[in-house]
Amino acid sequence: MKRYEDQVKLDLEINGEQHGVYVEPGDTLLHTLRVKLGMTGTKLGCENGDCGACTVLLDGKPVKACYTLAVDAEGRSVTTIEGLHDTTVQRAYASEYGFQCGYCTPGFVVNTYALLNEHPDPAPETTREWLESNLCRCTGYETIENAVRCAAKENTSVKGKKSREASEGD
Amino acid sequence: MIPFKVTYIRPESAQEAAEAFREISDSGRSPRFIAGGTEVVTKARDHALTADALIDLKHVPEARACERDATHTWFGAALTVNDVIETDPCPLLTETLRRIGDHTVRNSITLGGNIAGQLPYREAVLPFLLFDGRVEVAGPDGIRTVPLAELFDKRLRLGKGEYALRFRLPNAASQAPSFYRRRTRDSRIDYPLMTLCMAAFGGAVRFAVSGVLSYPVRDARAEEALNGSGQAAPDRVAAAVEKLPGRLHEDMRGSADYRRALLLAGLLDGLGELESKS
Repeated sequence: MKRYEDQVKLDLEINGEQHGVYVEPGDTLLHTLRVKLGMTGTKLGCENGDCGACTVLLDGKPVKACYTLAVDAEGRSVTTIEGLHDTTVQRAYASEYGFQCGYCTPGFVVNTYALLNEHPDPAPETTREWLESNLCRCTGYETIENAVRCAAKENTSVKGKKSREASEGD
Repeated sequence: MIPFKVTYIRPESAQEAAEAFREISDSGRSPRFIAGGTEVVTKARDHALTADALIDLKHVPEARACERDATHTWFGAALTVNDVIETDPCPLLTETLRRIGDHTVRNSITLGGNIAGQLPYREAVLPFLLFDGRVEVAGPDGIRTVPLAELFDKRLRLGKGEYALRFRLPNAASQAPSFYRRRTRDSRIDYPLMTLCMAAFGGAVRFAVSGVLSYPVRDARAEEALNGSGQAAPDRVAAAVEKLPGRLHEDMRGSADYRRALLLAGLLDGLGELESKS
């Protein structure tokens, strides 16, 4: 049984790297990422679990870091926007202008990345279900939806090409 | 951020969890069970909730398991709502859980947290009430299993140091014709004005509802009125609504009259659909 009374040093795996960080038991993952580790890509929005600006992946699943305790991330892998480099999703958001002020964008990108990992070619209802978790006050939803469609299309065409190359090689 | 000092405890068995609660409580401090944290952390931030210690139930093995036998399925109380959906439990439970919060939050909200939490909606309880579910409760005196209807009266009535470990649903619920309707004021993601679950089960049409009163309810007298013979459906529906215990809720989301209208329409449509299938 683990018990943390006061400040504790946690070893957190974030974006594939180990980070030792001192946290209070009541620290959220959001606070730990932004203030303790300087990873400010994950944004502070409502702090109430509503807006999705603080979305990160925990063992590949999107969660909102504003209500996730840092101690809950112990022994699990955390992926933040800083851990995504030139992915299909990011290229799609850029090419489709899937952002305006950009504040909600890290949350949307991380959630979209997780969506397409689980559903490479998501049905519109699935896309809507997942992305309802994120709010855009600039109301740039149409271009965000275009970006998700573009990324999914890119994913499936890359996979299709790889599959054709593999079968040609047989 | 939780803006006050708090101890975090991570038990690895049901007994450890109960003992941790007793130890903290006996020392004059106030312990609280936590699982997903969506309510506890956000309410603590708002100073709407305090605790000296948080006892995390997510690492209690029974609370994270889903076990199915020939007749029933047990769902661990610390399973997330999305975890439960993925087990493909029964259509009505899936539909109900799918509208709680949003998809990302459902990766954190737990079954037990939704049913035993402070928010008044507790929508996850509706299918369990409807299908005569049972709850396994762990606490200082060990583990007991009781019909959920015996412990749920507006909220889950647990003793000091007790917590819900698992919830049970009969597998026959998957085959029961069912009807679900949820109405919110504005967007899809919102607290409900009405969440209505209905099913043809056990020889009658049953219903459980959240949002129209200030607590979720399944009421025997209301169901008896709904299933009354010799009366037209609208009259039975009106009689059922009149029999509900307590006053219809009124708040900035909607008036009592509006909630009544939603419930009347929902029950009428549900009754029509279910009776046509039988």
